[in-house]
This record gives sequence, structure tokens and C-alpha cells, in this order.
Amino acid sequence: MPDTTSTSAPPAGLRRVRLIVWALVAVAALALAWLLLRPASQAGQLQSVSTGVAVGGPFTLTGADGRPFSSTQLAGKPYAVFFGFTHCPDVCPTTLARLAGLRQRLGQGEDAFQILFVSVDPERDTPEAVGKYAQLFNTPIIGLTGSRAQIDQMAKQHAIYQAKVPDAEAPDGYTMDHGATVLLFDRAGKFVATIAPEEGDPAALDKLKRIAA
Amino acid sequence: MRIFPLLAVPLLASTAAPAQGPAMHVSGWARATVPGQTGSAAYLTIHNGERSGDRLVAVTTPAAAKASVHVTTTAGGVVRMRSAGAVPVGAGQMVEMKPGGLHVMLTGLESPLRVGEQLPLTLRFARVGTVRLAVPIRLQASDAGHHQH
Repeated sequence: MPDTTSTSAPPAGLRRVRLIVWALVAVAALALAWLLLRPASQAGQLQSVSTGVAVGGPFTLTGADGRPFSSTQLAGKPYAVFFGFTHCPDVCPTTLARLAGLRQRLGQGEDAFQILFVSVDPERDTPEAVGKYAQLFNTPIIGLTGSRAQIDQMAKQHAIYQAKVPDAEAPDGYTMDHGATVLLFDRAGKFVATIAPEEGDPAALDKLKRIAA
Repeated sequence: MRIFPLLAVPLLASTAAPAQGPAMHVSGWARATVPGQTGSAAYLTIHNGERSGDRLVAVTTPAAAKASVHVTTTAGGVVRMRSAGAVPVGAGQMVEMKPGGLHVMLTGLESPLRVGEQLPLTLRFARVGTVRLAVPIRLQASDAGHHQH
């Protein structure tokens, strides 16, 4: 690259330094590309992850009442976990309404399985906010939030991708990209299956029957 | 407390006066919210009966501080929502917004959107100009959840 600001060619040592800097830039760009492209493959790997490393496991978050909510409170109860955020106008209410509808179609009552809504946006989603949001669906849904560290850990142990993304038209100038896969756990807290966003209701119902109380 | 006008018939120029006005037919619904929730979405079906292609360039509603068309995409289980910009509607074509895809994102709602009420919307198209309508407020796309067999 010609350098228009200098009158003479830079010394060889400086050129080498520049080469190294550009190489570092290239490595950083590749790393960024990998990070950006990763979620697609990450979700695809969920099945293999589930056979290798345990998906789920104990957690402590914050309930709608502002008090700690621990996975021990789900002991003996099957549950479905969905990650989202209350400023999510489209997919989150669609998925929660769908889960509520599927639970109704199972015909085993509201205790057939618990529905957990975990915020990936704890900066905005206060306990009160997730609690109110969970009431939208006219059926019991457990709204949960927590500290950023708690949410990160929760998402990690459920192989859920989450990323804050700038959006000038969204409230506070950002939106959240997030895994919309629903994870199903049996009454022993063991990971059983996932419901993908694109998956049809019959397949989803079959899976829910497997965990239902 | 804002009271939405309850309109039996959408205020479409084309419905009101078939001989005049743009043949831009719009219908849809908006998602209900709970108190304290400041965002929601509306889903519109736009049929362009004009002889020319058009573009939906802006949406406004007195009920929300801002309305903008966004699109949700799902890949590998991850959902992403982005601004859709102006939405092209070709001549004789139909654009159908659906949950999990194109939608009008509503932010800064002043009061909850209640099931059974209507949300007034003003759409601005690049060619035909303004189309006004009111869409019903529902919990979800169809009310199938309330009529189980």
C-alpha cells in the first residue's frame, strides 16, 4: 500500500511491524466472523451436546416476586423453558402463546408441565416486568430474570445463544438476538427434547406428552 | 386513558368509495398487551390492486410512540429481528405479515392493547399515499386457542 503522507518508503522494520498488525487484524476479523456465524451451528449441535454434556442442571434466578427462584422449586414437575425478552414483540409472545395452547390441547391441565420464560434482557426486564408479561397468556407462566451473570450462565447451560444488537427503531436502541428453541425437561429435571421454532404442532405435542405429568 | 374508536368497518378509502381512491386493500390484527408492556406488534395483509407497484414507507398509530416494519428471521434456532425498511408490494401482489416474519413493531404504547378493541393505523405508501384502517386486537393470530374442539 503506498503511503501518501510520507515522502520516503518506511524502513523494513516498520514494514514488518505493519505486516504483523495487519495479520492480527485479519485474525481478529476471522474470529469475529466465527463468532457471528457460530449460533447457527451451535443450535444444530444441541443434540450432540445433549449426549455429551448435560443440558440444563440446577439454576437460581429471580422470580416475578423479586425473590430467588431455584430449580429445586421445580422438583417433581416437568417443565418447558423458553428464553426471550419482554420488549420482543413478535417471536416471544408467539412462542409463549403456542406453548400455552399446546398445554391446553394436551388436556392434562395446567400442571401437565410448567412453562418458564427466562429473560435474556435482564438490564430492562425487572422481576415485575417479566411477571406482568407472563400474565399476558391467561395461563400460569413462570417469568424469570436475574443478574447478567445468572442469565449468561442459564443460557450457557441450555445452549441458548443471546446477543444484544443495535436497532435504532427499537426501544432503547437495541434488540436481542436469541435462541428460540424450547427445551423440555421431565419431572426428574432431566433434559428430554427440544421444540424448534419451525417445528409443527403434532411433533411438538408428541414431545410434550413425553414429559407431561 | 385513551379510548380507541371502535370501528365496525376499516376506514379504507377503497371500501368507502370503490370507484375512487387507491385499490390498496389492507387488513390485519394487533397483539394484545398487559399493563406495563410498552411494545407489541401488528400483522397486516396488504393487497395491491393497483396497476403499479408500490412501497409501504411508513406506519403510524396514535396508540404508540413509534411503529416500524420489522422482519424476524430464524436460522439454526436463533431468532433475529431487524428493520425491514420500505416494504415493496408489486402490482396485483399481496404481502402477508405473519408472526415470526414481517410485522409492524409498535413501541412506546401509552396504554395496553386490549382484546376486543381496535388499533387505528395510518399507512403511507410511496405511490397511493395514505391508507387508514383499524385492526382488531387479539392474543394471537387466530383465536383458535379459545375454541378448542
